[in-house]
Amino acid sequence: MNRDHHDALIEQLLRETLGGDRPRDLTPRVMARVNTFDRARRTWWISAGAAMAAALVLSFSLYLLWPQKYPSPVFSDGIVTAEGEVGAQPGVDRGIDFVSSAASGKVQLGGYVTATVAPDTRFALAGGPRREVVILKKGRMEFEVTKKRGTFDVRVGPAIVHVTGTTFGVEVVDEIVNGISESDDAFQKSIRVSVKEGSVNVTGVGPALTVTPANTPQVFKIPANRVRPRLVEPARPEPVTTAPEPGIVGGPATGPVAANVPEGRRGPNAGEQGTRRGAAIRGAIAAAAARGDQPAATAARPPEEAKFAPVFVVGGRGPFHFEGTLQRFDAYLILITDRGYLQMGTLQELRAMLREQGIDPGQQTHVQIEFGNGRVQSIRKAPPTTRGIQ
Amino acid sequence: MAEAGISGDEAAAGDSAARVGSDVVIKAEASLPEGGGSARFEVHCRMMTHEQLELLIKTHQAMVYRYLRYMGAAPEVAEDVGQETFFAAYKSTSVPLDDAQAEGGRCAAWLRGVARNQLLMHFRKARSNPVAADPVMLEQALQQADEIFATEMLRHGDGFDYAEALQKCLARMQGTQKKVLEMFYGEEFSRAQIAEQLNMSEDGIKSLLRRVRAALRQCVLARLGIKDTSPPEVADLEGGLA
Repeated sequence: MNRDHHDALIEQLLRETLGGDRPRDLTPRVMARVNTFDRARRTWWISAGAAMAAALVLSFSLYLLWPQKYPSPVFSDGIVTAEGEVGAQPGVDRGIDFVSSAASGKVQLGGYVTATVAPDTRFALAGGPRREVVILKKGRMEFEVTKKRGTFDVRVGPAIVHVTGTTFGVEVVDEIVNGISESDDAFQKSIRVSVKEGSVNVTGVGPALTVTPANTPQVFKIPANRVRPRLVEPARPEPVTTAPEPGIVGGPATGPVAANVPEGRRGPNAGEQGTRRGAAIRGAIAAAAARGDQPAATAARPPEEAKFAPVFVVGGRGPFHFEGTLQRFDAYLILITDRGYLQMGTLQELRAMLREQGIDPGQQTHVQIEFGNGRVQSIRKAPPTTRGIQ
Repeated sequence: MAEAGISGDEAAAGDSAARVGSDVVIKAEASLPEGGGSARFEVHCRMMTHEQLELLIKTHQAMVYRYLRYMGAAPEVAEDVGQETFFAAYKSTSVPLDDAQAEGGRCAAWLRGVARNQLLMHFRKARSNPVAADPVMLEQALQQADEIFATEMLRHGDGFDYAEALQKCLARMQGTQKKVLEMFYGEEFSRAQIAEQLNMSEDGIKSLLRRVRAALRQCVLARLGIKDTSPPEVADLEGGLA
């Protein structure tokens, strides 16, 4: 045994017994330390909890806001392309025509538009993510649109049915006008708009009208061969980042000039040329007007409107035939029809073709033009006619 | 029933579990290394409330202080280390609170273990200790001291019988021995002062104190019936004490 430890034990007991060696009460000191510890630990838990909650909120927000893949159009049985392919194919191009078979079908667009397609209906898809557009060419479709998910337009020729959340139907009603019927030319048709819930705005066929369940249905006539492009201010040239809607001729969005665009295949960069070159041409027209050089077609419209007339680009596979007066504005050649101004190209691009036909670009010559794949395919002199488009 | 290992380091490490003052019983099965079979054991873990801590302090602070002073801590150090010991007990979830009110039970042993480790840490920081400068030797010394404290004073009780026996032996002391003890431990005179008053040498006082303590120890062991194998040093004490 270790005597020192035994000795130390006796010694301590002697200190206690004889010297009163006792500790002071440690309770207050220990409890003060404990309270401080508890406070610090509570603060830590609160901070940890707040950090965890913030992390959860952040994760959830990231999940909600993370760009989700935009759903592709979904077609049910009974919807096929104009070539007969089944519609429910991945990577379906916007712009091609779809037709319904004898039975009705359904189409889902962007996860927020459900369209019921009646039998014997023909339509095309346009627009883009969260701005779906259906171009109805024949037949009847009914739509259910979820609110606040995106915009949705139905176009029938120049008519635009714009909706942000409702249930409605659009029907193309064929009419026999001047011996022409059941063609894809929407300018000889009527559209019937029926609204079950919500409201839609219809523009492009007369004064804009809001159709609601209270005044439904509404029928809008599209007179044949009398459509004039709306006169709008020239748009500022801006780069086109998304593909223009197929089937629509590039240029200011006032409606198609060429009616024969069934396939909807647009020429490359037609839209972009339509904005930039169109702006340049409009500038040239304005400058000509300022000099007192009026376009030949100004007899049909007031001079002050000429400089604001939209200049269209003819896109699409074609061929499309136009007739009008060829006029040169600075470096550009345009065709003046009763529908408006059509871009043809630069003088340099068309010089050879003009020379071949013996056409002087400096003279206002009445010509017939064939467009195809977004460019002039042929030019020939022609006697003036009453129709601008064949 | 197997008991959970008691480790002062484990207790000193602290725990950040919520304080709910409830019992948590852990049941587990273990395989024995030889002969197959299995054992079921339960471990009771308690999370201490403030009330339980206060009761623990009041029950054991004297024992912890005595233990730390016996280990060689000065009075102020013993109080500081004692405070750390109980704070560590509050943070720990392995305190055996089922016998917290028993001065000689597992809880007391657990507290002594924590106190020993806290004192060791203190000595290492201070780099001065009454036992040894070498940390390994220091730890060994404290271990030995703990063994003697547990086996001789506590044995299986709370050490009260030991202290009581010592008081009875002290009561039998007379004369110079008693006076020297009272002056040294009671009035806290130094050996030099005692030597001057009693007209003795300082070494003589030192030797006398050692012999008196040894005699008291033998008296206590005799009263408690514990065999002492150490050589006696009480032949020259007047009258003896036993």
